[in-house]
Amino acid sequence: METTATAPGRASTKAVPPAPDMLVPATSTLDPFAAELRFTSAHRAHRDAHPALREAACLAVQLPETLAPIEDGDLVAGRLAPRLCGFTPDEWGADISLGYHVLPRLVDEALTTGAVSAERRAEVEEMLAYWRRERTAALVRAAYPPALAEDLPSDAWMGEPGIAFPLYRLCGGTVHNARLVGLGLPGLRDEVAARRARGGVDLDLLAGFDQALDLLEEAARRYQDQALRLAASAGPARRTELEAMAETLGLVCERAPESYREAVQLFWLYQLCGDIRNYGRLDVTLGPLLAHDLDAGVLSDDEALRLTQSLWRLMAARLTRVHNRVVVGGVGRPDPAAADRFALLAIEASRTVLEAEPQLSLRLHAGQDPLLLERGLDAIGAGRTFPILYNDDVNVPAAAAAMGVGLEEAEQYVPYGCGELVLEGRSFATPSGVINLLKALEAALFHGECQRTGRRLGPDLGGLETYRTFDELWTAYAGQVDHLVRRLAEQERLEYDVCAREFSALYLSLLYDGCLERGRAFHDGGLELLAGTLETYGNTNTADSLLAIRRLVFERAEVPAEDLLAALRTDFAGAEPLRGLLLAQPKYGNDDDEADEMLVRVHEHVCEQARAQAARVGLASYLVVVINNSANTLMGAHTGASADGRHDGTPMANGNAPTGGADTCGLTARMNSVVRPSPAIHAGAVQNLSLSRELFRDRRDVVEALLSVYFARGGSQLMVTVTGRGELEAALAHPDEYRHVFVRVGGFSARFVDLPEDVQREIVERTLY
Amino acid sequence: MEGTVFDVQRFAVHDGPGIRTTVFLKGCPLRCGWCHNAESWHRRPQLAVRTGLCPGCEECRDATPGATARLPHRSRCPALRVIGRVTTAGAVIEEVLRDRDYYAASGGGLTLSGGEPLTQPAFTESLLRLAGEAGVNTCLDTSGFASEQTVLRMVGLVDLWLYDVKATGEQDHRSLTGVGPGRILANLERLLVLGERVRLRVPLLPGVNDTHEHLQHVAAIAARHPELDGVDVFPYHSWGVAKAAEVGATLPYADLPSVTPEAASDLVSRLHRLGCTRAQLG
Ligand code: SF4
Repeated sequence: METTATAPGRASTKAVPPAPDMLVPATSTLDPFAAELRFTSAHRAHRDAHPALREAACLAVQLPETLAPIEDGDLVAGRLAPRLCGFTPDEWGADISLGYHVLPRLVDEALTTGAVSAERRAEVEEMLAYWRRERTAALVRAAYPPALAEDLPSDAWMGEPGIAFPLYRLCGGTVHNARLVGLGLPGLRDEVAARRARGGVDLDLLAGFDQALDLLEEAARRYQDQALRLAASAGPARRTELEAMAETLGLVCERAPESYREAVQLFWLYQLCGDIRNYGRLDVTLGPLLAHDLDAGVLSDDEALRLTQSLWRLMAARLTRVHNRVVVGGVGRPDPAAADRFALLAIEASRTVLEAEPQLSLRLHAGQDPLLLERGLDAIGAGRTFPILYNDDVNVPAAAAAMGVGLEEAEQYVPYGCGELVLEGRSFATPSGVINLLKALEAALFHGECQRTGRRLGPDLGGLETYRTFDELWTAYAGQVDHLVRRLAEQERLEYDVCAREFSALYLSLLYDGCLERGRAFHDGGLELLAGTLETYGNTNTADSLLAIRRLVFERAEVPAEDLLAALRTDFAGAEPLRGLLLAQPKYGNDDDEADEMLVRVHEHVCEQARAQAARVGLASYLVVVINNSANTLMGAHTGASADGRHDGTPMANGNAPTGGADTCGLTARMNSVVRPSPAIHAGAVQNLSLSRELFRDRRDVVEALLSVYFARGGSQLMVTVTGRGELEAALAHPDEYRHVFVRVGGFSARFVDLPEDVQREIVERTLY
Repeated sequence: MEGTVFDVQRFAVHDGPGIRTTVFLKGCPLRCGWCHNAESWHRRPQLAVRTGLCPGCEECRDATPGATARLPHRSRCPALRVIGRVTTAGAVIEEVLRDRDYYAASGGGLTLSGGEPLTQPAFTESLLRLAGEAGVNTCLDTSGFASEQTVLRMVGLVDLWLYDVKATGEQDHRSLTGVGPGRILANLERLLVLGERVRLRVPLLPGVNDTHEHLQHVAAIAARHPELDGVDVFPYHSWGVAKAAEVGATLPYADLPSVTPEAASDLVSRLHRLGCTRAQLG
């Protein structure tokens, strides 16, 4: 989930003077709205056209505007510039921005800071009014049936108390890039033509595909021209680079890639045109041509690394924070030897490019070349937080079971974003809903009301003082959750349906299995495995709270319900001893059966409830994801004090991890706990592990043993941060001196000092081993 | 078999090889001035009072730090904590065995520490025996201050002895630890003669026990016994001071700062120069 503004305004525009045919980002031109107004006109003019044609018409305006100039040092062409309105199948920026969208805050900013004529101002106001109605997210919201609108009244998941919120985005598209590289632009055009020739197909959609490919080619040609122009005035070394780039850009228009350079260039431009942010198994996509070039002596090791590093920097420049996934390693790759060569190159690029993205993810399996893990650990040990480790031996069968597919199909699982799993080119599962389980427990304790504001969160199913048994409390909690999970599943299906009427997601649909054959957009019947995911938060705090209540209020009757409710309402004011007692109850993360079983119960309940919705709403699967970003902090801010001893408004535990500081029994105890919740009923859960720099440096044998046992015992995934607590504390105090420190916050890596202070504090609180 | 345990630390990586679980036993006859576990001294469970955590409930107002009588059954006051619990060897081993996969993969196992584990000989023996039967590697972290008979009871049950050498000379040893060195050194020799695997642990406090004579003595033991598994130096750190106060104990070196990393390598170098090249930071 994009929890922080993608800050379109920050995409860099430095270094190269704008070429006449490469429009500079709107915010820096004299007329900051010209492009947006043209985009709006294109959309308006095609309001009643086929969604594929409307999308293509809008992209025809957008792409020349947003594909930003080549910068100094780039070896691959393709950057994205900011925009004030536009199209993306995903989301863009901090505003609700699915599909066709506008970013009102940035428009306001541009209106107040720029010298804008009265006439232009009126046009912009009119444009804003148009988009308030026509933006895709508003259309999704407007399509809610009354019951859905009543149960999901707010979209402000970061800013308001609530149990469940919809998100607006078709996020996580991970296409068949190997097919792109195998066929190239001409091959893809041929496939579209062949499909047309066979007949019985939506010709408008195919026309949209053709236009999308034309736009891609035009983009390549514009970059080719720019590269040649830059080359003319560059020094000798840079000239050679730019000429090579220009030649490559010409070649990708004419043939399927025949070199690593061409493959990288085509891959990258395609992702930018389609605003695709997760790249899937790049070792499968790029490995064969890399191996070919290295063996044929076309490319030296050093050149290959520099190209890859450039690609890595371009990925980082997208500032997605939570996307930019590159997956390497694992079973189910057609040419593992070639793929491994790319995997090693990717690890080296991640070790040497000091950026928070891409999120390199390494799949591991028994029998894999041990060098991959060894190099991966070197990069992690150097403080890079990448690669993130995935265990195929667990994930393949788990994905097969959760998604209801065969093992062979499940071998193509890839993580995207913060750690949701999909099948590359085969399934799509946007996480378009969030549920805060701890807030649901709050509603169950306080008659369906928010304990901080008294606002209604859900139906009144009772209050702690009315339940005679723990089972009654559980039933009320489950009642609050179940109802909203059903609603979020309905919302997800509805979102796909509304989007299908609005756009065809041309670049995604073209490279998703079955879409061209069926002649349907991926979300409009093209993709067999159109699925959904639901982000759950507060799982750990909910389980620990439920256990504390069960023990103290029901089993031992040691704490009267009224006392507990009063303490929670007042954030334990004057009730520190009671809080101490709550804190002293068993907590998840200590290899304590009672605590771990409660977590498993909470986990299984919400996972099964979600799973059960798929058939009802018409999705291939609807699965929980227990990922994290900073939503645990943001939603925690609107969640009252809880019975695990957590204070009002403070962060909830991260993902499925134990509450920071509550796992007091040692790392192995924690590792034993976190493998308890089954991975076979959800679509991804993340585990963060902070290890001290010293341990990694001096006791690598111990670290390796720790990981191997964790994976052998069923650990599915692990993100390792190597750092020292002292270092983090110092970074808090002197941010300027610690810009090199990177940490993982659930789903993404970030420069520690760039994080909000409360998130920084929470990370320092997390146990470091 | 029952005994008193005051802490169980899993993923211990500094108390012997591999990934280990360290079980801390209560009770110690020594009074080392630098002790970092002074809450272990008394054999029985004790009250620890952390006045800083008092929320104003007054429950801790009359509490005596270190008291062993009338311990609160279950205190609600976060300032009060009972150190030590009476438990069975079987229950401890059950917890220890939860990490057996990690021991197997890393060459780790169980470490008994304290306190002085040999003050609870039957319990210690029982823990070692149960671990051994389960195929778990064992280390015993000891000051060596026990009767020969007690030490001999453990022979064959301990895979690796972590054996302290704290000071040199009757006078120094007595003033720094409260007991003389005779029995300790005799037990050490006895173990080595019996072919037990032993690693020396050398706590060093600059200006207190890092005398030339003491370092020379350590180096001499190491030279005499090439079969020693190794020599680990533990430079002083002051983390134990606050804990000691919570149980009413005072440590004489409360004001001594923790040894800096540079000074720590210095201590090791001094041993190297005396010919004890196996010395390393523990
Ligand atoms: S022998 Fe160990 S536990 Fe006993 S007083 Fe000395 S340092 Fe403390």
